[in-house]
Amino acid sequence: MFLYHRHHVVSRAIAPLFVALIVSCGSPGTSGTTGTAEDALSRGLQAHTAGKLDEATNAYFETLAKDPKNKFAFYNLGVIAQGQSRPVAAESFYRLAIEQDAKMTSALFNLAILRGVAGANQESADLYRRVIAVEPNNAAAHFNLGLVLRLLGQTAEAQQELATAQRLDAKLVAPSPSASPARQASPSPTR
Amino acid sequence: MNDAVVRISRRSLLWAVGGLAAALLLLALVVTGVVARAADANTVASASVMKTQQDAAERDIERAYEQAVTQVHKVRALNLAITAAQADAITLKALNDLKALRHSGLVSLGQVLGLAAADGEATATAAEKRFDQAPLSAQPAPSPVLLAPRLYAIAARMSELATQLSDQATAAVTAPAATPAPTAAPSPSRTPAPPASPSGRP
Repeated sequence: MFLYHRHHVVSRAIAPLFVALIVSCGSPGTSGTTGTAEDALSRGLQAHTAGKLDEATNAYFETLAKDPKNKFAFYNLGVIAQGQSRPVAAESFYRLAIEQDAKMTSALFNLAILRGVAGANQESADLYRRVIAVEPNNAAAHFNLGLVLRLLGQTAEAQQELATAQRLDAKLVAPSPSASPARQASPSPTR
Repeated sequence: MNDAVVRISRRSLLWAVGGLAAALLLLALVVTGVVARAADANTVASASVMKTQQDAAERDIERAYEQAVTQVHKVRALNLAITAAQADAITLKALNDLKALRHSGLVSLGQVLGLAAADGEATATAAEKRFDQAPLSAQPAPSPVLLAPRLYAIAARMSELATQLSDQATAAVTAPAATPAPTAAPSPSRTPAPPASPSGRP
């Protein structure tokens, strides 16, 4: 249940960001290995959206050869690695993207997911909080933060985050808390 | 009253029961697939099929190796926070590990194909030389071959491990530069302690 919801949120969150990147980069540049970093990035995005991941990877590295601090190229390399179930590489690329722009919410968000999956829940929560600091109305970040806080045992704060998420996006319904066997066996005396 | 009685000789009855038992046995053999298995011819791959399989498996191993090596080189070319010497050391180690992994994969292939240890080693070394001289990335893609399961297992494992090695190198090379390590833990010094009162500033 927990993982399902996380993945659900992830996919919902990545898609619009990706479109935003395409728009921000303008029209595709010329094909081939010549041109500016922006041309290479556009080619990478085209290949990426077409599912030609090797081609996209080459284009993103080419972007970085021309513009060594291009956060979008780092981020998209991270997206590719994450999609290929290569968390170690994905983390590295997201961290590089964040190094270039500490407020890049897409990279912070995806890195938070990876750290959570790796069991580093406190770091994951911190990363979600950084996303929320930049985008207070990011429902997915509030939702995932709520789930991570639950795992950390910070129930009250978790409930608050989940409620905020649902207020921002009614479709985000919190999964029922996984009750421990002890709680199931003995009903709570309070109502 | 004349009752109609069919008389069957004991001999006929035995024949009938025997026939029925034989029919049931045959049916059981057919249903359990014993007959089908016995009727199947045991085919042994011809030398040319074995060669095709070996070549395809070697190419798969090489492809995984080349992809991993390419990634290591590309990441090394990035603008890195660590020093060039550190990056070179990490890169060199990754490349050596990948070479060792490729060699191990090719040797395993020889073992599965029934080569003697020395022959397997020689075949692996020959394949490495061949691929180093003419990398797959510079060759047209051959038509795909469906690998035998045991060969596929080696190629798949090679791919998995090569990816892990290159990703680990990526993580190491792109790690933020280490901050200057704190000085050694304070040890009792013999120099006089600074005065407790704040020193005067200009």
